[in-house]
Amino acid sequence: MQGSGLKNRAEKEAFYRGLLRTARALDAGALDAKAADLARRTRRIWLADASLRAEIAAARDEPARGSASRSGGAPAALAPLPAEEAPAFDPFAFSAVVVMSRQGRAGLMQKLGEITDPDQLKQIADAQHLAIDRSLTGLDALREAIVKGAEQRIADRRAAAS
Amino acid sequence: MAFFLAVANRKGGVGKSTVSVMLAHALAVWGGKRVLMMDLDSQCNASLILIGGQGWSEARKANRTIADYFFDLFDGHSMQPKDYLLHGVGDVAGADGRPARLSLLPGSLLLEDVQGELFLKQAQQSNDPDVVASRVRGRLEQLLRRFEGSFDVVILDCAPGLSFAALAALKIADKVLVPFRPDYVSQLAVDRVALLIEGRRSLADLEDIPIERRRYVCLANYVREANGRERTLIEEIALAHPILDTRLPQRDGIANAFDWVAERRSIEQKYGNAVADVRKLYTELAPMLEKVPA
Repeated sequence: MQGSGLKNRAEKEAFYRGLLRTARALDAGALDAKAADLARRTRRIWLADASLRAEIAAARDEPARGSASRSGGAPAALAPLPAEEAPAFDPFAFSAVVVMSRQGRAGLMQKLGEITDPDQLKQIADAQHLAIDRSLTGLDALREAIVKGAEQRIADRRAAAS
Repeated sequence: MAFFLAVANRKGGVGKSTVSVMLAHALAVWGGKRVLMMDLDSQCNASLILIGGQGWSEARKANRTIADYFFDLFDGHSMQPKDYLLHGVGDVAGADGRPARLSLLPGSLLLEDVQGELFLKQAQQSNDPDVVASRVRGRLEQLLRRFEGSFDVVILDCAPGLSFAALAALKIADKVLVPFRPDYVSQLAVDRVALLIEGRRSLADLEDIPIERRRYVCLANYVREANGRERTLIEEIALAHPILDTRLPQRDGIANAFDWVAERRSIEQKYGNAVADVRKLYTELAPMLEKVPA
């Protein structure tokens, strides 16, 4: 197995402390307790990025922030984890057919107007099986095409049922 | 007087028989109801689930199946309808350890053939096919109703398609449950069976009947919760039809429950990790299955 392993309790705690800093719900005392608990429960941590070892070594002797008995300057911190990635776009966040049926053309156009990325509009069309011209690139043209696609699906359903 | 619940969809493979049996178990065990399952599907899945292959074979050999019932009693011969029923069926015990009060009129592979024969016999008396079809359906409706005084709930597990028996079941049902899989062709099948149940010609006509007063309700089956496409399709079906909040998932407990076992178990043991799904369906549907006093 490639990578680098952390076996030492202090190293494991430092690793978890760095991770848990991004958990805003934890105060300093709870963060330290959680990191200690995780380190105790974990036999070994394999790092995919061996360069993290240097950071962890720097933070290894960092005093627990929640402990009143310790003193010293601001502890060295692990590099913060990347900010939480924005959730992936969900092409099913709303149904174009349902919005069209309940709120009409204007309602669907307004809803589509909240989306300003042409690729996301195309994702909606693909996911919801709305026939559009794939060569379209403009936002207005794509929105109009999706509205027409939804109208077509509704008409198709009514025709099949009659 | 029994409440007649038809479980129907023109499309096959949507789980009509499995849902029928699930409800039969739940109504008998949790609801304490006297339940009769009439297996109107020549695939006979409900019968196999409730009495196993050997039990079903014995019913066939004894000429005590739905096909025999229709054929023997069609012209009013003096057979006893109750002789065609099997009682205490299923491999589920009630809370007291005794068999659930569940009875079965077993299915038959010959049901379509028998319906055809009955049609031909009636055709000897009239050369108007519509009149003949109406007579056959009407008589089957009477025969399906024959047990209404002896049970609390009669579940009619219908075949896919539109046989005389299925049409008769839809006609007499107090409520029709329409299971569906959330896919494109199922949407069209639900639309069409809804029109048939309500006697309408188009979705536009159907809108004249308020959704809360429809004689049917739809049930999403085989749902994969994390699947956005399925969720969207369910929403699109709900635009035009009443639909239960319960969604039956694809789950091992449901699939495994339909192996018939020669030893009675509790309903919780039978359905395993799906018992909560069964409970949810039962809790939502049971209040709809009460007869409104005349």
